[in-house]
Parts: sequence; structure tokens; C-alpha cells
Amino acid sequence: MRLIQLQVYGYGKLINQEYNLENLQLVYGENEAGKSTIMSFIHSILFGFPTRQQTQLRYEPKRSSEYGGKIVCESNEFGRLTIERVKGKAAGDVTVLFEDGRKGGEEVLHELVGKMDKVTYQNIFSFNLEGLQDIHKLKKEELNRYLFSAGSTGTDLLLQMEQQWQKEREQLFKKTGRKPVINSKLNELKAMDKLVAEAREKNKEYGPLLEERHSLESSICILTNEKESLAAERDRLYVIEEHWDVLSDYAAISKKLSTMESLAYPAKGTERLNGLKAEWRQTSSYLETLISKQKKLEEKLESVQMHTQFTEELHQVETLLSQQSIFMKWLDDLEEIRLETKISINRVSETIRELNLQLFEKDIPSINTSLLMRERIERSLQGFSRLQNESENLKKQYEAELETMHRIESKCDDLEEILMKEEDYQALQKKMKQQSVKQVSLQQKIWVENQIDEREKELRSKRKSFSQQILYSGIAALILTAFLIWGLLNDNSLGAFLAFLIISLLAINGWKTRQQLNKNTERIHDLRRKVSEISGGVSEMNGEYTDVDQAERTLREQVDYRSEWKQRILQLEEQESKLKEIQKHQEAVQTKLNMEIDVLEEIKAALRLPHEFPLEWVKDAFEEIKELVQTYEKLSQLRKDEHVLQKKVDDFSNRCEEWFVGNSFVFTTMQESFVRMKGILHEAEKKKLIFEQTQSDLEPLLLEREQAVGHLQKVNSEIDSLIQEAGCADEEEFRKLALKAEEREEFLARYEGMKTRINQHTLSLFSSFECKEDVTKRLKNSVLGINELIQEISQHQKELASVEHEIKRLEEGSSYSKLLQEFQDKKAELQEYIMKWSKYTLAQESLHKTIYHYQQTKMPNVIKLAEEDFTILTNEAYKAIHLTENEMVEVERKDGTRFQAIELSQGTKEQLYIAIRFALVQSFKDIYRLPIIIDDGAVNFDSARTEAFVELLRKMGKEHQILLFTCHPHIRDCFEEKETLILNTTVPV
Amino acid sequence: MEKIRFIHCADLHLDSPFIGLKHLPADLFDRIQNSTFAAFEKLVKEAVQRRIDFMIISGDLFDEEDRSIRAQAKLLKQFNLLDASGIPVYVIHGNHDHLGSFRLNLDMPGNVHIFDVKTEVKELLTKSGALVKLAGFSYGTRHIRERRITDYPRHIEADYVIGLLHGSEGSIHSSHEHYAPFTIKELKEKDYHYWALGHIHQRQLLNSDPPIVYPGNIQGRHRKETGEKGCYLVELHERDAALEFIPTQDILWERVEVSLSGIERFGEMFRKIMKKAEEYEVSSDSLLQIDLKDYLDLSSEIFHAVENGDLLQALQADLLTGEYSKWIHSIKLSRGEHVQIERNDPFIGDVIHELTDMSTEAGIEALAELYEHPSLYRYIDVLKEEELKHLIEESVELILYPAKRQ
Repeated sequence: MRLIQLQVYGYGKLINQEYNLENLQLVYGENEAGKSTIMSFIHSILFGFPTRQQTQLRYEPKRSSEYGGKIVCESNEFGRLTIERVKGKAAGDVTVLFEDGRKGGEEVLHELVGKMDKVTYQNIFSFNLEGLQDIHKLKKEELNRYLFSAGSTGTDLLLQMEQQWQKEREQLFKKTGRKPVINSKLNELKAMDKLVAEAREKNKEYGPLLEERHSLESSICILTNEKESLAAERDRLYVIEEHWDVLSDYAAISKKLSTMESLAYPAKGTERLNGLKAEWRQTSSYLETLISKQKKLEEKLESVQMHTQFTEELHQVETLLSQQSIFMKWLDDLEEIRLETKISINRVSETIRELNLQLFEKDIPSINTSLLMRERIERSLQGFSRLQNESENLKKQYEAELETMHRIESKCDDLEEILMKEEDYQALQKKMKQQSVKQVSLQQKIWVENQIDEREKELRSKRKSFSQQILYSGIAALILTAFLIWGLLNDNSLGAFLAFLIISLLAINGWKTRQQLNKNTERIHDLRRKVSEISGGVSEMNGEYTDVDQAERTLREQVDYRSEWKQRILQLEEQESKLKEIQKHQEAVQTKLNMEIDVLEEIKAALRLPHEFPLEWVKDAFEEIKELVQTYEKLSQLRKDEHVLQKKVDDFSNRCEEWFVGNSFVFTTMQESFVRMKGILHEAEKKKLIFEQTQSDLEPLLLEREQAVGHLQKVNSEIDSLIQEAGCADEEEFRKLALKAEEREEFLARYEGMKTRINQHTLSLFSSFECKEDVTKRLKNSVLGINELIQEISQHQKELASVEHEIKRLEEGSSYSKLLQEFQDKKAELQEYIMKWSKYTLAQESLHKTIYHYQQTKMPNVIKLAEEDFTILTNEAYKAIHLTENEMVEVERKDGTRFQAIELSQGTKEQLYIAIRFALVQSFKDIYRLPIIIDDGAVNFDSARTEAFVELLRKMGKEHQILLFTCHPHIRDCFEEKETLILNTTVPV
Repeated sequence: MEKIRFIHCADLHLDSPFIGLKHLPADLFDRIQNSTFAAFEKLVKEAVQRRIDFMIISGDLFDEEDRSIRAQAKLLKQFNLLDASGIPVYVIHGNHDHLGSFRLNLDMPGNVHIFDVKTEVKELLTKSGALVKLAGFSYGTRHIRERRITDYPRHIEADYVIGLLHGSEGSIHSSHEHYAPFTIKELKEKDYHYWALGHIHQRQLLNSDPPIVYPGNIQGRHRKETGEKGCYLVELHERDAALEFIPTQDILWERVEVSLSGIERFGEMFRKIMKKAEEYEVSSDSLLQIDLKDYLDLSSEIFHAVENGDLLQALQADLLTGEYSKWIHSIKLSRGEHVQIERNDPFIGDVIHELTDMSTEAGIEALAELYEHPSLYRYIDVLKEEELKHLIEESVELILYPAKRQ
């Protein structure tokens, strides 16, 4: 590959620069002209901008935003192409543009540079003064090695690394040593392993430990039991020793108690007895109280109680008192009756006086006042009054009739005067009669005339219809005659007969009608004759008409007068008979009346009425008398009642008095005695009440008393039974027994008290001793034994504890596991170091191997090329380069003298370096044909050798493009102008 | 035929230390120490709760060398618990707890049946009346390399036949040593209903009919034993098998990948890692390993801080928040992004080729100075191929990125 043109957009201080490059190109420039920048630019475009992590400078332009540029180059495989790299991702964005317009990226570029990276490229194709200058500092072997490595790979880095690896390895591990990490860790691990082993060893102790534990436990158990029994004995012995007296006492008491065992004393007998006694006392005193109470009440009762007699008397009083109101009523009644009597007497006497009765009081009942009498009186009186009335009436009637007769007589007289004479009257009557006949004839004539008219009319119509009838009948007869003839001719006899019949009928009919007509005409003639008769009579009458009226009127008056007069005469006659009859009647009534008066007089006498007493008043008198009789009767009744009442009152008073006197009370008046009686009764009542009260009080008292008595009995019986229970005859004995029992109780209490304190073992143990001394002795022995056991047990327990601890530690204890884990941790750590060491070792190993391989295969070739180059560079002063066994580089001078690299002069050393580098490039020419970049390669060369160097460059230039950068004018001078690119310092600073 | 239900677990490694941890805080240290017990207690609790018919433990109850009395005492306690619930336990011993090793004379309860050194068949009649026969053997010595599978009888008459075997399947490449090797074909030929395997700590089902199962260990013990650990609850019904995994781990080992691309400052990196770790979802308290990716762009100072442990120290100083507590136990640079060696310097390329082509023997030889050091070798695990590979990767990095070292 050949670079043709560099186009810098912006890189370091170069901005928008363009450089054309030849196959062998010298780039000359003073310091800071930009040589390094250009070299870096080439590297960067080809392999990418240095990343920030890398140590190389990035040459980012400070004065331009553009970063990067373009390289135009030529290659055998791809032809001419342009590589452009600008700012982008870390290494920049690259574009490869082919001649034919194709575009490519990083891969194409990668292909173009023969898949080489920057470092390798630099190591092989670009070398600077640093490499040359370092040679000065190197020691003999180092130089050799450096040269060797440079010769073989172009890099010393790997060898530098190898040195470092070695260092690291040695820090990590040395076969013999203590300080390296692995060695020290190993020691630690060893120590730990020992610990682990020890711990594991302990695990084996586990079994025996278990057994030991078991045996220890069982022996402890046995010993403890032993100790406990001994301790128990000791305790008992202590007790016995301490309470020797008590125990003896106890024994004595128990002995005594055993003798008293048969005592049959009821439990708490005394208390029970005392209780019962107290109860008895209480009850009996209560009873006494009750009895006294009763007595008091009874006394009270006595005082209140009345005699039975008196009680009866009280009854009497009560009765009397109850009759008080009656008595009072009696008195009132008496008074009333008396008053009434008085009134009645008065009335009787008054009536007698009034009627002026002819009798004394005592005769009164003899008066007949019966209903019959009354009836008689009534009847008589009625009859009397009726008869009297009748006679009166008759008198009046007579007078009235008489008057009427007089009036009729007068009237008759009047009428006689008015009346005509008989003859006049007759005449007149006759006249009147004629007049009325004429009147009737006239009326008859009118009627007949009317009838004639009517008959005539009827006749005319009849005649008319008759003529028609004749006509029709004639025709019919004609036809029928014809028919008859035809019939006769034709021998139709039936037809002819019928026709003949009909003709005859018609003829009869016609004849009849003719007859009738004739009759009617006759009648009319009759009627006309009548009319003419009548009309003769009527015509006479008309002349005398006015005169008739007058007469008629007079006649009519006279008729009336006459009839009235006749009537009056009749009346008069009648009246005279009537008067006569009445007179007769009057006389009959008068006799009857007299009879009646006699009867009445009789009655009056019966009634003891005075003679002069008017008859009319008899009835009233009778009533009075009757009332009198009644009054008298009532009076006598009243008198009787009074008498009875008086008697009753007297009786009652007497009884009261009698009672009073009987009860030695002073009797004064009835009123007083009543008050007194009430008082007595009240008192009695009060007493009775008190009595009853007391009695009712007494009743429960009695009941209570009864109960108390019962209770007392019960108490008594209980006391008895108690005593009996104790088997005693009486209380005294019982009391004695009680004392005994108490004693026993006391013993028993003491016994019990001791018993709680003294256990059976102690007792049994106690019983086995005779005296206290024995106890003390034995006690001593026990204590000793116990102490021994305790010691033994504690010893065992200690052992057990430690064994158990050990077991627990083994079982629970994580110490072993922990140790193991720690051991593993250490091991892991060690392993890591070992790995690290191994890593370095392996790398070193392979490096060594490769180097060896190179020495064996590639190196001779390189050395041969280097020899050639070196010969040229030294103007054939040296003819060969050798590699020694120990990787040393030696050179052989023309004269055959060999020199080690270190022995060479500075210039020659540099020439040797360059020769080897060139040889290296040459050896890769089949693989890579990349431009060689040399930075001030021939500084220390003399002019002859500089020329030789340039010659070598030209020779190399046939295969590779060579870019030589220098600041030395003498080197510039060795090149043609077209091969020289001069960088101006004036170019941007 | 009645169903049977049992729990199959293996590799309890009770009370064995966690490997590869350093500078543990005290509380975490205690916690970790108890984690194997806690896991087994959890397992027993589950067993009791779910009323299983019996339990199978396929070896490695303890670590031979590290078997502590505490571990045994605690195991006994748990067995007693199972005994109280009437759950029989069938135990074979594995290479780590072989019968020849030191053992305590502890009286195991009656429910614990331990298989003899010679292959034997044990019988069990479950409560529901299923006849189960179990075939197995215990390790008498640490190393059993012969094919013991041939001792297992074929076609056993029973309702269910279960094989207990502690060993490695021939095809499995693992860090576990090859003991009592067998092949799946061999197991299948035995015509058993279930193969309860042990020894491999990584849970895996080798076959489903019949189930051939490594339940894995019940608690992860180093950074490589990541993820949930536990046991299988197995329900067999004639030929049908239902397996339920029950996690038991007390502490989870997890790895968290963190990409550091674009990171320029230490604080940025620290925060990013913290955030990632906090966000990382776990099902219980966890120990985290941070795998750093894309760290090549880091500046040398920051990278140095990662390398010399400053970062880890800083991370461990700060507590992680979240439902479960998490503790970052280490930081690893995640290799694997194999840088293009070709592009590099041909010499370096050659060196790297030399490294990567290095055989195990050559590697061991190169490191013999240390590995075969008379007083060291006892404490160093024999270099395995895998480890060597890892070492070589690290060495390559060392050469490729020398700048980071300066």
C-alpha cells in the first residue's frame, strides 16, 4: 500500500492541509513544524483515533470543529482509494471510497491494512528514536534480548511483560521461601489443616465420651440415691436427738391414750349438755313469763266479766230500749187519738144540734142508716119531687092550652067576618068551572090540525111509491106472463107455475098497498071533522076572558079563607078536649103526691128528725146522720184505741219501773230511765269489748305456753338421752366423765400435734434406740458417710459436666464445621493465588516456547536479511550477525572479530537496530506491504553511513513506501527535492 | 395396584463447607454453615407434610473427611422425625460417606434401612398395601470403579421395584469422579420401575420410562452449582410416573451477567452491577457471582480495580436490597468472546496459538513446579482439563491485553 495524498481537515494544529507523498518521502521540518502530528494523523486515519482510555494524544484541533481527514492511497489489491475518517464514535467514523465509487467501512480498511492493529503496525513498521535511544541505557543482556525481541517481533512489550510476569510469579511463589504469598498461605493452611485434623481427632472421642457420660450418670444416680437415704436417716436422727424428750413424751402419751381408748364419751358432750341446759333454762323462764302474763290477762278478764243474770237483764234493757221508739209513738198516738176523739165528739154534738135531732148520744147507733133506708128516702123523695113537678107541669100545660084556645077563638072570629056568603061563593065557583073547559077545547083543536098535516104528507109519499110499484109490477107481470105462456107452450110446467106465483104475489102486493092508502085518507077525514068541532067551542070562549081573571082571584082567596076557618074550628074543638084531659090528670097526680108525703113523714120520724123538718132536706139530713153515725162509730173506736194504748203505755212504764226497782235503780220518769238504760248498755258494751280483746290476747298466749312446755319436754328428753348416751345415770356422773374426756382430748391434741411433727420413720427409728447416746453415735457416722458421698458425687458431676460439655461441643458446636469452612476459605484463597500464578506461568511458558520456536525457525532468516542490511549500513564494515545459545546477538566485523551488541558504538548500535527492524519488515513483506514510518532514524550516522542509510532506504523503497521524518538538514540534503516535503514553522502555531 | 409416593434425594453433604468462598461476613458464614441442614430439614418437613410412603437417599449423606458429629446428630434428629411420622428411609452410602469411613455408633431409629456393601434387595409393604422392593448397595470404600450394575438382579417380583445406585452414567462428562459406572441401557435392562441415582450434583432425568433420575444435591455448595436444588417427589402408579421437583435449598448460587460496554467510570460500573444484581430475580437468599462481559473497553484503572478486588470489596460493602438477601461472592471476567487472534501481531499470535494448543500434560508439566511441590500438592486439587482451559484463557487475555496490566 502506498499513501499518495494526505488531506487534513483538522488534526492537532494542522487545519485544512494537503500533502502529496512520494514512494520515498522525506518530511523535513523544524521542531513544532508538525512532523509528529502528521505521523499521528496517518496512524489515526488508518487505525482510528486514540480512545480516551488510551495514553496517546488525541490531537483534537483546538481551533476547528472538524476533526480528522482523508488519505488517498493505492494498493495492489484494491487500486486507488480514499480513506476518510471524521469525528464520530470513539475511534471516529471511517469511510473508504473506491475508484469505482463503492463505499466501505472499518472492515474494508481492516482488510487493507492486512488485519493489523495500530500497536503491531507501530511495532513493525514505524520506529522512532525512543527505541534507538533506549539502547544506550540497556545492559548487555537486556540489549541482546531487546534486539532479539525487536528482531523477532518488533515489540519489546511482550518481553517487558514477561519480565513482569516473572516478578509476579516470584512474588506469588518460590519453591523455597516463606515470603511469597502462596508460600505463606500454604503455611497458614498447613497450620489450619493441623487444627482440622485435631478437631477431627476429637470427633473420634465422641463414642468413648458417650460411654463415659453414661457410666458417670449411672454412678451419680446410684450415689445420689445412697446419699439421699443416708441424708434421710441423718435427718431423722437429728430429729430424734433434738426432740428426744418430746419423743419420749409422745411415747408416754400414746401409751396413756391406749389405756383410755375405751372411753365412750359423746363428742363435745359437755358443750352439748351445757347448751341443752341453757336452752332448758331459757325455755322455762320463758314459760314462766308466759304464765304470769296469762294470769294477768285472766284477772283482767274476771274484772270485766258480768253476771249472766245481768247479761239477761241487759237483754231486757235492750228490749226496753228497743221499744223506746214504739213507746214514744204510743204516746204520740195516744195524744192524737185524744185529739181526734175530741173532734169527733164535737162533730156529733154539732150534727145533733144542727139537725136538731131528737136523741141522745147513745141512741145514735139505733138510727137506721142502712142502704135500704137511704134507698127509701131516695125513692120517696124522687117520687115526691117528680109528682110535684108533674102537677106543676100539668098546671102550666093547662094554662098554655087555655091560652091557645082563646087565641084560636079569636082567630075564628076574624075569619068569620072575612067570609062571603055561601051563595056568592057557589056562583063564583060555577063560573070558574066553565071557563076552564073552553080553554081545553082550544088546545085540542091545535093538536088535531097538526096531526092532519102530518097525515096528508104521509099519504102523498105513499101514493107516489104506489104508482111506481104498479109500473114495475106490471112489467114484471108482463115478462112473467110471457114466460108463462112460453112455459105452457113448451110444457115447462114448473117455470110456468113459478111465473104465475110471482104474478099473483105482485098482484096481491099491489092490492094491499091500495087498501092502506084508502085507510089513511079516511083518518084524515076524521081528523078534519074533529078540528071543526073543536074550533066551534073555542070561538065562544074568547069573549069573556078578563072577567074570569078577577073572579078567579077572588075565588082562590075565598077558598083559602074557608079552609083556614075550617081548620081553626077543628083546632078549637081539639083544644077543649085537651083541657079536660089535663084536669083529670091533675087530680091523679095530686093523690099520688099526698101518698108520698106520708111516706116521707114516716121516714122523718124514723130518722128522729123533728117534725117541722122540711121534706126536701131529708136526704141531706140522712147523709148527715149517716156521717154522724160514722163519726160516732169512729169515736167509739177511738175511745177503744185510746184505752188500749193507754194500757200499753202503762204496762211498759210499769215494766220499766219494775226493772228499775228490781235492779235497785231509782225510777223517775221514763225519759230519764231511757237515758239511764242507754248508759248501762253502753257500759256493758265496752266491757264486753274489753273482754273479747283480752280473750283474744289470751289465746296465742296459751298456744305459746303449750309450745314452750313442749319444747321444754324435748330439751329434757334430749338431756336425758345425752346422759344415757354417755352411759351415765345422771348429770353428775356425766360431768365427771366429761372431765375425763377433756383430759383425753388434751392428750390427743398433744399427740396429734406431735404426730404431725414426728413422722413414722422417725418414730420407728426412735423405738429402736434405748438411749440418746446411741443416737448421737450413729448420727456422727451418718454425717461422715454423707460427706464422703457428696464429695464423690460432686467429683463425678464435675467429670460429667466436662464430658457433657465436650459432647455438646461436638454435637452442637459448629467449631469443627467452622474450622472446615475457614479451611475451605483459605484453600479457596490459596487456589486463587495458585491460579494467578498458573496464569502467569502458562503465559510465560508459551512465550518461551514461541521464542524458542522462532529461534529455531524464523530467526535465521531474519538474521540473514539483517546481515545484508547491516553490511550496507556499515559500508560493509561488518559482515555477519550471529545469535548465541543464550539468545545473545553478536556481530562479526570484516576481520572476523565478534562483538556483542553492547560493545558497539552508539551509531553502530543504531545501525544494527535499524538493520534488524528492516530485516523484520522484509521478512513480513509477503504478508504486509505497508508504509514504513521512520522518525529521525539516522541522527548519529556519519555522512558515509548516512548515504548508506539512504541507499538502503532506496533499496527498501522498492518494496515499501518509506516516510522519513527528520529535523536535520544534512539528511534533507541527501534527498532530491521532489522527495522532500518541507514543513513550515510559520504554518499555524 | 396401589399407588406409591416417595421422595428421592441424594448428595446431602451435610455440614460440608462451601467451596471457593472467602471473606465471608460473619452472619452469612453462620447461615451458610447451616444451609445443608436447613435444606434437609425442609426436605423432611415436606416429606412429613405430604405423607409420603417412604424416602430414598442415594448416597453421600456426609463428606467422609468432614463428617462432623453435629451433622450426624442432626441427621439422626431428622430421621427420628420421619420415624415419628412412620416414614421409612432407605439409605445407600456413596463415595463420600462410605461404610469404611469413620462413623459414630449412633442408634438409628427403626425406620432407617441402610443397604449393605453387597448388593441386596429390601422389601417394603406400604400402608396402602403396595409391595415395593428396593435394590442397592453401599460403598464400602471410597473408590469403586467396577461396574456394580451387573450385581443388580433382574426382573424382581413385586408391585414396584426401585433401584438405588450411587455412581456415574458412562456418557456424562462432569467434574465428578467416575464411580460405579453404568449405562442407561444397562439400567433399562433390569426392568425396574424407577432408578434412584446419586453422585451427580446436577439434577437430570436420564430417562423417563422408567424414570432414571439424578435428583442433584439438595443445596448448592459452590459457585458452579447454580440454580434451585432439591429432591423429587415421585408418584408411581403401575408404569406411570409423576415427578415433582421440590426445591429445598436454603441458599441459592446464581450467576449474574453484566455487560460493561460503554462504561467509563468506576461509579458507573459499580452502580450498574448493583442494579443488575438487585434486579436479578431469585427464589431464596442467594450468593451471586457477577460475570462481567464486554469489559475490554474499560480503561486500565477501572479494569485494575476489577482485577485487584476493589470492585468486589465495594460491592460486598454495600448491601443489596430486595425480598431476599443477596451477597456477591465473586466477580469473574466472562471469557469466551474470543478475540481475533489472527489480526494481531504474528508473534503474539504464535504465542497464543502455543498456549491454546497446549495439551493438558504440557500444562501440568508447565505448572509442575507448584502443583507437585511437596508441601503444596496436598492442598491443591488436581488440575483438571477444564480448569486448565480456563487458565489458558486467562493467560491469553494476559497477553492480548497487556495494557490492562500496567
